[in-house]
Amino acid sequence: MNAAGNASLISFRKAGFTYRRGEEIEVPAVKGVDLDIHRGEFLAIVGSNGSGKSTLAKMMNALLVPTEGEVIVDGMPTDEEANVWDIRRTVGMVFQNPGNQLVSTTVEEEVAFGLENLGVPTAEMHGVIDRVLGEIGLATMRRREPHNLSGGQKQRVAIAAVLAMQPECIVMDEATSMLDPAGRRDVLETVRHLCRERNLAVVFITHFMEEAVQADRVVVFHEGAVAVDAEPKTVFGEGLDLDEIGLDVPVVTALSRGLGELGFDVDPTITEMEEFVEAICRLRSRT
Amino acid sequence: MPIALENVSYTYAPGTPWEHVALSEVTVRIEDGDFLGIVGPTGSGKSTLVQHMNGLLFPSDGRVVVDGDEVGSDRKALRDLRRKVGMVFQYPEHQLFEETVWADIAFGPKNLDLDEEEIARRVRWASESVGLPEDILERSPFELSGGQMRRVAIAGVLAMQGSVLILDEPTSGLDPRGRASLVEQLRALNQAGMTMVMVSHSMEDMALLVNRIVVLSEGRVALAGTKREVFTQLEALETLSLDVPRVTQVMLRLRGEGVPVPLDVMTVNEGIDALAAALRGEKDHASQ
Ligand SMILES: Nc1ncnc2c1ncn2[C@@H]1O[C@H](COP(=O)(O)OP(=O)(O)OP(=O)(O)O)[C@@H](O)[C@H]1O
Ligand SMILES: Nc1ncnc2c1ncn2[C@@H]1O[C@H](COP(=O)(O)OP(=O)(O)O)[C@@H](O)[C@H]1O
Ligand SMILES: [Mg+2]
Ligand SMILES: [Mg+2]
Repeated sequence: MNAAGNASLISFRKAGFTYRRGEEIEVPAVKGVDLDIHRGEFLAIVGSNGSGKSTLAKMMNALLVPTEGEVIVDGMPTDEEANVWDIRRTVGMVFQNPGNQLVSTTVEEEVAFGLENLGVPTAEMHGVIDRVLGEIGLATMRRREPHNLSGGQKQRVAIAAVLAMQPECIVMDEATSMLDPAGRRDVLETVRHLCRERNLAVVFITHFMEEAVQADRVVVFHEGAVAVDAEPKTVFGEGLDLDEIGLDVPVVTALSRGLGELGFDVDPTITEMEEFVEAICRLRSRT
Repeated sequence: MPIALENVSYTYAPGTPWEHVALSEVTVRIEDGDFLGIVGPTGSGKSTLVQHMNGLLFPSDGRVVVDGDEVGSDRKALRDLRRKVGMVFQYPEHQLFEETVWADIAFGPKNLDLDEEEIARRVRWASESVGLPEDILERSPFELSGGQMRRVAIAGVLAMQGSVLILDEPTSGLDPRGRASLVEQLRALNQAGMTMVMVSHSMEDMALLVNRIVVLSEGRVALAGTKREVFTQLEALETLSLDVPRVTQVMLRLRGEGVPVPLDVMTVNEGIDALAAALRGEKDHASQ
């Protein structure tokens, strides 16, 4: 149970994963992670390249099964073969590179594909497809071929296809990296809305601190383990040593700190635009 | 080696039900030593445009002229062109294929008939430039994280040391430190004389690097000019779903509240200076 009274949906219990090939190559990518992800929670994961975020993500829907410890999704251990189907229905995943995920000849079919597999009746299916394509801004592209779309368009298709399945958790692994700025904001807004309205759990992996700030909770991943797990304010505001980990802070935080160093009385823990504007206006009214 | 696209139009799969016009009458000129930025909404034709610059796509209409010669289908001329104009694709994993990271980065230089020593030197230089640790060089490029693959792809093209470098969303997928060091590296290469063309959604990267920007919208040039000219056209950018750098957004909000800050502020350091000046200026007035 978290503070909002929601039960844990995905639990990592001392879970680890080591990639192995032959005798000689071993890459321990995730090590002894304890982590709970709750219904209705918007969780951001940040961390440097190779820190293990994608590996962790793939452990959330049994694409990878822990080589140590366990991962439990809605009561189901992911290492039991019999659970895999239900786990994948519960936790939908959008990858870093959507190209590998798209299989159909039109955008519409791509979104229908998963629904057919779930045995959703045709009449109902059309409703779901229309809604999701609208939400994700693909209404005019239903008849296009997914693999002939631009990078950002492909990412939208992959997100729509996963949302159509109505999972209880959606894991987005840098899933908006090729979208234009407005597109990124729209998609983030849409999943945030679903998180509130339908109690969807969202795991949002990103290199953009501006996006991570909008989460309920931020996990900083470092060398295969959880380095920090806290509210965005604590993570970015309190001057934790993110530099060491190769991360930066939101622009308004950087501006606040810079002004502080020049002797201005600005709270260095500011993470939001509105707070920053207020702080500057307050400074002016004092002079 | 100036590159000129003259009235270039491009249609994918012409005459089929999937026919799609991706570029219409685009004219762009890249001078030696330029750092040109290309921005535009998703699907506006950016990747299609840059693929014309090294003969991966040929115009359906109009022409591409490199160093005075029209780019055509002559194989030898094309091979020369691709040696001089390196390209880092939007999805770098598509350009990896060797057994080890080392072999992948060495592939280009090997084709340039360089000796082993020079090849090794370039592989080391390129992998250091993109921040790839030594122990990754012996691994398979397919067993890497997304950001690591991108670094390998960029290193492979850097190792060619061509005279023009085209990068399609190169910083996407890189962590903040990797992004900052790539930006530094690109800036240094450009200052050393390499011509650069970069597609990016990151206005921060644009602010730090480019001198000119071309904005595409639905396959046409919607805006073009120096970066300051382009970034001050806020309304036009907004209707195109584009942003100005985050710092510029902060300045705009503050201007709205009556804080006298300039709008052509694009980086965090410029922002701190501009704010400090504005706040101090007012204090001086008040104490007079
Ligand atoms: N298929 C694989 N085989 C072997 N090692 C792998 C494989 N995939 C990833 N790794 C390694 O595991 C570690 C963690 O990789 P992972 O993809 O989880 O990182 P990440 O945090 O998602 O990075 P990025 O920000 O670059 O996407 C890295 O050292 C990587 O090289
Ligand atoms: N192989 C292809 N076949 C058909 N249409 C394509 C193909 N590649 C891209 N397109 C279309 O051409 C337009 C421009 O694509 P692209 O140049 O990739 O855009 P950008 O890089 O600006 O996102 C888009 O509408 C895209 O869907
Ligand atoms: Mg990853
Ligand atoms: Mg593109």
